[in-house]
Order: sequence, then structure tokens, then C-alpha cells
Amino acid sequence: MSAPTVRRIPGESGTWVFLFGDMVVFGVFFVTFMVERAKAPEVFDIARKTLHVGVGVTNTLVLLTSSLCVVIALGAMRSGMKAIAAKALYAAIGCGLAFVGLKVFEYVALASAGHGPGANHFYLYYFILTGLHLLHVFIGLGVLALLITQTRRAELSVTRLALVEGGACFWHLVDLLWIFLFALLYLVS
Amino acid sequence: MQRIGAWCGIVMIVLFSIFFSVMAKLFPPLSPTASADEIADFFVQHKIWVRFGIAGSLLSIVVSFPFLAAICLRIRRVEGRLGMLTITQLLAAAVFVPAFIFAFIILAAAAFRPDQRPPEITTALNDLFWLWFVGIAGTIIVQNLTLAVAAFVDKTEPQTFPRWYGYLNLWVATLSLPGGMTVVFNDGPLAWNGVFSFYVPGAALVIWLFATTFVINSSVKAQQAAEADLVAA
Repeated sequence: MSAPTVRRIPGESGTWVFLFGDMVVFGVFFVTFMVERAKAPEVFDIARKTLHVGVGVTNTLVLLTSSLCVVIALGAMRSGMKAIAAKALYAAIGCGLAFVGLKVFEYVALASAGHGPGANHFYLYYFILTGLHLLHVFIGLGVLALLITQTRRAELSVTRLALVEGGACFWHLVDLLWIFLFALLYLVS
Repeated sequence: MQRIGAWCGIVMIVLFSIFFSVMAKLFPPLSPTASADEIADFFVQHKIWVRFGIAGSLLSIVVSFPFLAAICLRIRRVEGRLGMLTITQLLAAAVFVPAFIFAFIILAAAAFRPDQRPPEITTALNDLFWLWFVGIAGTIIVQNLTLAVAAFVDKTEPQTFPRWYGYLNLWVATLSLPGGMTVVFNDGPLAWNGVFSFYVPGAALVIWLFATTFVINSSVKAQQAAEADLVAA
């Protein structure tokens, strides 16, 4: 960092085509949900209260923790502390898997209580929106696994470091989308 | 030649939109929850225009052949030979076009004599068309992923695919994924007229077509300029 005044974009600039694109699309999904909710606010509110807020909060904390781990890992990689970076990434993946486990528990609990995706539009959107997010979590876990392989390299070139940063940004996006999703589905009444 | 191919992508989508949406009035899509009588009524009412629209759509789809050929050739430039990526793209593109054409022939059958048969038959043909039309997302996803890999491994000089184009392809692939789920849902955002399975992937596809034309055009131009310099030197 020879010139601290220069604002640097993390990752390659191309990564942000994907990241911003994804954010826009989730924005469209959120608006769609709001429009549907406006059509039947009572139904949506009653259904919302059947969700497990505790599990939702736990999942939010789990993802925030994993994001923190990724930040630690990236810092460690920049300063060449590869062992710490790998450990932090394993922790992040562990959190990601815990998220998936809790989500599956939630799905099973909802479905066995008769609140499957076919019950009403709230549940339909709940399953689809969280399902699409879960797909992102799976992709993100793959990305984190890729980052672990990068910690084993002796030297990281500038392009590789940018790739690693881009991967980290993707995981933060997964986290960010969940925070919005959590607020929208579990909290907004 | 490759630049003409690239332009065919935009020509195709413009012609197709005119025939599909304006003439046949198939945009927005017929509802998957509409009754058999409503569906049959639509075809009886708009019989002539739907048929013209389908005929036009069938003819405009084939304009995409040179476009897909241009993509294959650009990928081959990245690989330097007829490698895995080129052949994967070739296969996906080769399945994509007939899948479109056959789907429209089924719709043509739905519009052929809707007033001379029970409405349930017309509805079944209509179902078949929409499920097919939205459900072929997989062949598009494979093309996007192939292009993304090609953009990331590209070491040609001048560059064939910019890296942002690789990320754009990943984005389109992610968005097209819900289209593959359309056979599961009769109603809601993942049904064939849903936001997640129709409008968003459709919009992404249009953005992709324009971006692809732009990328191929500018990279062919850069290549030609580089070759001209080489000849001059």
C-alpha cells in the first residue's frame, strides 16, 4: 500500500459484476415477496409467527461468525500466516455446515407441522427464498474449500490473491443476503 | 464473419420478441392455473395471430445458429484447438435450438384446430409447450458455465473473453437455475409464468445476449487490429 489515498476494490473488478448482479436479483425477489404479502397481510403475519425465530437468530449469528472467520483468514493470508488462515477457513466452513444443519432442522419441523411449501403463499415463498439462499450457501462452501487449497500454496500471485478476495466477498454476500432474508421473513410484521 | 455471427444474437432476440410477444401475445405467459376452457378460448380467439407468431418465432430462432457458431469459434480460440470446452458448447448449443423449435411446433399443434377438439387436449399441448420452453434452462446453464470457464482460463493475446464476462456468465447460470424447477410448481414464483423461473432468467438471458455480442465484436476487432499490425510489421 504505497498510496493509501487510492481506493482499492477488493477482488477483481469482474467479481463485482456477479456480486452486484446477485444483489439486484435478490432485491427483485424481496420486492416480489413484499407485493405478495401486501395481497394477504393477515395470512402472512399468522404464518410468520409459526417460524422458529430462535433458530433464525442462531443462524444469523452463525453466519456472522463465519464471516468474521473469513476476515481473519484473509488477514492471515495477506501476512503469510498460512496455518492460521487454513484454521479460520475450516471454522468458517464449520459454521456454514451448522447453518445448513439448522436450516434442514427448520424445514423438517415446518413440514411435519403441516406448514410445507404447499400450505399457503407465505410458506411457498419462505421455502423458495431460503432454498435459493441455501443454494448460495452451498456454492459458498465450495468457494471456501477452494480458498483452503490456496492457503497451501507457497506464494500467492497478485491475481490469485484477488481471486481469494473475490471468494471472501462472495461469502460476505451470502451472509448479507441472509440478514435481509431473516429480517424480511422472520421479523417484519 | 464472426462479427456477423455475433450480431445474429441480437437480431434473433429482437425478431423473436416481436413474433412471440407482440404478434402471438404469448407475453406475459398464459397462466398455468387457468382452466382448460380459458386456454382453449385463447387459442380459438387469437388463432390466426398465434399461428403467424409461431411461424415467425420458428424462423427467427434459426438466426441464432451463426451466433452460436461464433461463440464456439471464440471458445476454440481460447483453447487453441477443438478441446473439451468447444465441444461442450457445441453440444449444448446444438440441443438448445431444436429444443426451442420442437416446443414451438407443439404450440403450433395447439393453435392448429383448437375449435374442433375438447379443450383439455389444447390445454395439454399448451402445458407441454410451456414446460418445455421454460424447462430447457439446463442447456443454457451449460453454455454459461462453459463460457465462464473459457473466460477464466483465457490466456490469448489480445484477450478473447474479458474476466467480467466470465463472472457475468456465472451470474446468468445461477439465475437460470430456478427455470429447471418449473416442472415441480403449478403456481407461485417458480411456476412457468413466475418471477423466479420466467421473468428473471428471461431478463438475464437478454442481458447475456447483448453482452455476448458486444464481447465477441470487440475481441474480434482487437484480434483483427493485432493481425493487421503484424502484417504491416
